Amino acid sequence: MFSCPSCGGKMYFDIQSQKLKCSHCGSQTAVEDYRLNNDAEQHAEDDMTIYTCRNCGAQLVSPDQSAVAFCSYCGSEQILEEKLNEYQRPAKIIPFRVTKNQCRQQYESILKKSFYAPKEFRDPQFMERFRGIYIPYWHYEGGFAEGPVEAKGYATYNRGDYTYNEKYDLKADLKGSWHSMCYDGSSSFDDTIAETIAPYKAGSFKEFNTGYLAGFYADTADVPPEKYENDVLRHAAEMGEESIKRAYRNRNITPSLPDNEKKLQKLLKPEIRRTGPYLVPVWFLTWRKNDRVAYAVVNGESGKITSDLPVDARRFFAVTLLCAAILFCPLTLFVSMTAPTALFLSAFIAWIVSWVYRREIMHLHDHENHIFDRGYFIDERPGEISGEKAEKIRKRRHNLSAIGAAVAGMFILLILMMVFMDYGDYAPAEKAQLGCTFLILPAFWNLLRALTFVRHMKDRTYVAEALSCFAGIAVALGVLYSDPVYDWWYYLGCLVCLGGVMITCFGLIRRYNLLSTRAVPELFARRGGIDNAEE
Amino acid sequence: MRKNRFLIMFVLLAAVLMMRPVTAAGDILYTNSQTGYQVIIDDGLDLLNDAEEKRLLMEMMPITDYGNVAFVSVNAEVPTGAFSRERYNLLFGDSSGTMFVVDLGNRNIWIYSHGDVYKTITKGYANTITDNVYRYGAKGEYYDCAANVFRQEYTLLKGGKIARPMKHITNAIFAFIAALLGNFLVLKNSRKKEKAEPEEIFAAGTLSRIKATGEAVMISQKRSRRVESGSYSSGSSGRSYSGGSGSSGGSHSSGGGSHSSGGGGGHRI
Repeated sequence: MFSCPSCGGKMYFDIQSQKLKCSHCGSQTAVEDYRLNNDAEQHAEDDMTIYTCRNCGAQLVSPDQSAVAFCSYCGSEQILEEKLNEYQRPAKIIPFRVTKNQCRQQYESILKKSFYAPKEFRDPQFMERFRGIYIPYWHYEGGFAEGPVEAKGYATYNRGDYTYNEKYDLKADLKGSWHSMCYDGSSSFDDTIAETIAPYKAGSFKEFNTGYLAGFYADTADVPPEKYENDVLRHAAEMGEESIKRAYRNRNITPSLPDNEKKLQKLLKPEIRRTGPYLVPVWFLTWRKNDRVAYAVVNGESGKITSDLPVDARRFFAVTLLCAAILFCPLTLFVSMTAPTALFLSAFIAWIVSWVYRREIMHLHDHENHIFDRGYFIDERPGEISGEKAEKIRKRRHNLSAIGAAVAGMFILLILMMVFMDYGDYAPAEKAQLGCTFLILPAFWNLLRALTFVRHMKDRTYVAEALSCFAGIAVALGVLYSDPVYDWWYYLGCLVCLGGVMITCFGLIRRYNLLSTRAVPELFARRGGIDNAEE
Repeated sequence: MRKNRFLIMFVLLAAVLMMRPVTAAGDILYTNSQTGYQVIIDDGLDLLNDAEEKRLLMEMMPITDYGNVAFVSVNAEVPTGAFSRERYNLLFGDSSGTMFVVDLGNRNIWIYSHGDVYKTITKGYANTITDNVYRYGAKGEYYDCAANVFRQEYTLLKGGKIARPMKHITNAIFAFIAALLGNFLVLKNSRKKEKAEPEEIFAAGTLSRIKATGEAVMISQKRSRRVESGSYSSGSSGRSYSGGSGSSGGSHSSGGGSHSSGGGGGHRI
């Protein structure tokens, strides 16, 4: 505990003044000026206690016992116990600059825009539960190994009526160092949250002083620093590549450097010279219901906020009904279609919904398996996706998302043109038949993809939701090909198809609430990243 | 005597033909003296008996206040839509009007309208009317089918409304589904989170003091005369752009004209 030099009262880090402030007499002292004699200083370091959450295993450290009232990661109360452990002093820290009050205002402004957020999120008492926590980041410093980088290069230019193609042997010297390359050191803190509340100013780091932790607590770095070495080296190699290209740019020479990241690293020889934990400030608010938690997290330096906001289903459907009523008027005034066209449109909507559902299920799969949270994979967990596989999935998602969207867009346009444009004297039933035929294969693809994501899930309603849209499209196609005279067959097909769409849509809303919350972190053996670093 | 008989028959036939004006493909049964619009019944398949034809004529006559009107029955060998357009041109040319076609070859009924009438009996209404009457056609009650078509057309032309029960039911379902899906997509989009790359978590990213210096030794140089196709292609690109734009405008305007002047819709029977 930090005692006030004037009255002996408890001191805490005051964000507004950026000083230590006495909670009793109000006197203030600059953190750097707070002097303890040698024994007391050692005592203060010893007072840094590591608390372990019995529920999720998160390890939190604080010099101030009262700061750790509950675990911010899983929302459990009274489950923290002291654990005597050696604490590796971080090298640097960004102190809190955003106050709890500012944090609450930010959160309220988000809630104002989120009409569907459940009522309990607006409870002022709930908002009081914002806790300040320092998140550890591994900081890497390094440079490039001695020795020239040899590569080929080329230049192409026009002069007069001629085009010149030149080839070069290049020999470059890569000198200098890089630092402030940081990666999330806590497995409890989801990387995707860190990426959303980014950035922190790399220049705001200060020398670490225990005083900054007074009144707050810090998560410990349990992800071993080696975890990110490959990312660090890849990024360093990219910086080196850019430097070399820049060096030759004024001579119009383009160096031919390898596209393969391993080969590039081998050529440029980036190396890590120093690693250590840095701390950054975060405000954390945890909402828990049954086995799900939702976080609101605020960047303690800039005030940037991100929040998991589930949907209140009643509010959502009330608004949907209102929108449907409003939409019905222009539809009635301006839209008239034949029964076959209505059936095609139902099948088309079913296809769109099946596509959205497939994407949602994919996101849910990634979300629940922590695919984009690299820090989560500190150890292989039996029955769960391995870190290596997660890495492969990440790359696949990154490559396919843009192409997938473009192909889907073109497809939608083509199908709509086929059915709704006046390009010939085809009867509506013929056009609808053609359009629906084109829909069935991509719909089957959507079904297969969705089933691959849900095959391990115990809840079988996922399968029903994935199937219902496809079944609707299949029924529509069947009706269109049987070419009945009586319209009620088409309308029956419409109803079946739209029934399937509704089942999937209700599923989408249910799954949305899973996507906007997180599974309560479970207790697992956390390897001591800091301990590892010391070995 | 025989010669006289032939002569009398010829004169009678000529008199009949002169009394009953005939178009290239049907009988003109009535001409509105005020508007000049005509009624034509071309029942090539004999779907209507004489009494039904007369009754149908009575149903069709009021429409001549607004445009020409025709009933055609046929075994078309081309799509009903194409047949209707061609037959209308043959009957009325560019004059405003509407035509109801029963095509047993394609098992379709079709309404084709043109000119001012098409502004009222649009493609959407043509589909609605045929939706409302196709049951008669399916049962072989062609008079009821046609009579209902002309009755509903007349209702629309004089500014009335016709029943569209299924339209409201499907529109209600579509409205709900569209609202559900739209609401969901808006919700998803409004909560989309911008994410930084792992390397961008710290503003200004990694602070680096890397400097590269380099030597370059030329190992080969090739010189080639620039191909004229470069400049040609550029010129061609310009030409193609300007031509394309003009042609597109023309085609659009022509398409627009065609759309507003005529069209129709139909139903299987």
